[in-house]
Amino acid sequence: MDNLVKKANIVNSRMVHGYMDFNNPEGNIFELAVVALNRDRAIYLIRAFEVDEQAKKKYIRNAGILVQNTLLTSTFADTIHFMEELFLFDTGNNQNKYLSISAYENTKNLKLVVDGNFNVFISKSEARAMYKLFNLSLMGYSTSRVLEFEHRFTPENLTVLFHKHNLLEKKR
Amino acid sequence: MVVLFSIIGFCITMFFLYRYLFVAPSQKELLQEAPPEPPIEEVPLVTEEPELTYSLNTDRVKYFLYSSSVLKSFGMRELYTKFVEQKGWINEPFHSTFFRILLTLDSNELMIINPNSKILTLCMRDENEKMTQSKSYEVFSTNQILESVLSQISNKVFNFSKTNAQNIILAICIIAIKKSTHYLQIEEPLSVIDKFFVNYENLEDIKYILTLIEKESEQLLFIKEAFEDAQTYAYSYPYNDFGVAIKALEVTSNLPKKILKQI
Repeated sequence: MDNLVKKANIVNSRMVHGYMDFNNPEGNIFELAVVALNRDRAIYLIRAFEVDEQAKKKYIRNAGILVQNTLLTSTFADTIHFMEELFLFDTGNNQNKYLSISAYENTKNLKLVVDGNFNVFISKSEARAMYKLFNLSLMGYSTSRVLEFEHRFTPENLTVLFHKHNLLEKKR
Repeated sequence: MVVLFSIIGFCITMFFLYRYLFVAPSQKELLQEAPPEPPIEEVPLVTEEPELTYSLNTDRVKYFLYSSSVLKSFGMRELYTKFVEQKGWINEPFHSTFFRILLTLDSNELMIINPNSKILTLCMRDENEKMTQSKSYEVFSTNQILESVLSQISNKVFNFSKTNAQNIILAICIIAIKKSTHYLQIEEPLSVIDKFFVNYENLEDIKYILTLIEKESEQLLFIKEAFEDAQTYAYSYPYNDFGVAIKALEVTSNLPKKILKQI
């Protein structure tokens, strides 16, 4: 059964132009949009939009954080949680889920453990800039849609969308 | 004078009498009863000559072949017809080994990881809010790569002698299998390769060809170029390994029966 899911995924990807959400009656197409929060550390915000072409409207349906080659959060609640930990910076504590506070030569930094392999350090100015960019990225969009009807991606769906937007290619 | 005239008159009357009695009827017949024209016979325009048949040489030569309908994909069938049926390469260790490789590639979905692909780790919540980890990357279909490589190099391979050409083709199949992954098994399915070559006499030759290709000898450099070309033009599919169980490669040990077939 598991292999069938994968096979269906490979076969469908030949035909899929954009990922369609078959749960919504309109069958609108999904698109991804990437916002670079910090280019040095390769931290990106990935927003999933539902595009209603008849009404000419876009709705945010999900948002996630991509750090280097790892998708850290996949739900809107987790993403907000991550951004709040950034905002708190050193006033956060050991109960932080994503970021831990570390000190280097009396300067406090946030340490993000990615994939258990390597660490990403975030300074205070970077954290503030990222928080500001996140707030800017939501301006002009209604968040009611994402709060009420958040779309849950499966790993297979999301991979097809990543492929469509060339996010799986290495930049040369 | 009178007698002379009477004799002449008698002669003339006798002449006309003779003509009237004997000659005239035949002329009358000629004039009155013209012979009917012969009817035009309908002659066929083209007359086909019957084929020359010889009692001894009536049947075409039939060969013992595997039925290519066992192979599901069209590309694998093409390879079988191109290298076995059209070339007539039915000598035994090669024929069944090549068919076993095609059958295995056909039933298993082998993939080659795209070297230009990122490997993304997706940490996602599932429906029960549990964190799951999976990896996403782009893959080529091994079958498509093999098809394009073999179609590219076929003309160059046919210049070699028959046994060498057959060994080179099998070596290319091994390279394609070595490069590929199978579901979660990222290791090379090397142990599987020995299963293909049961009782194969020229296995040492194939290994020697493999080392020549690795060393990039000039004679066989076109194989490496063909693989690079195939990878640049092949379509890469998105692949995610979520929920995929580790599954061993299935090598079909029992081949189907051969059938007598005309080529």
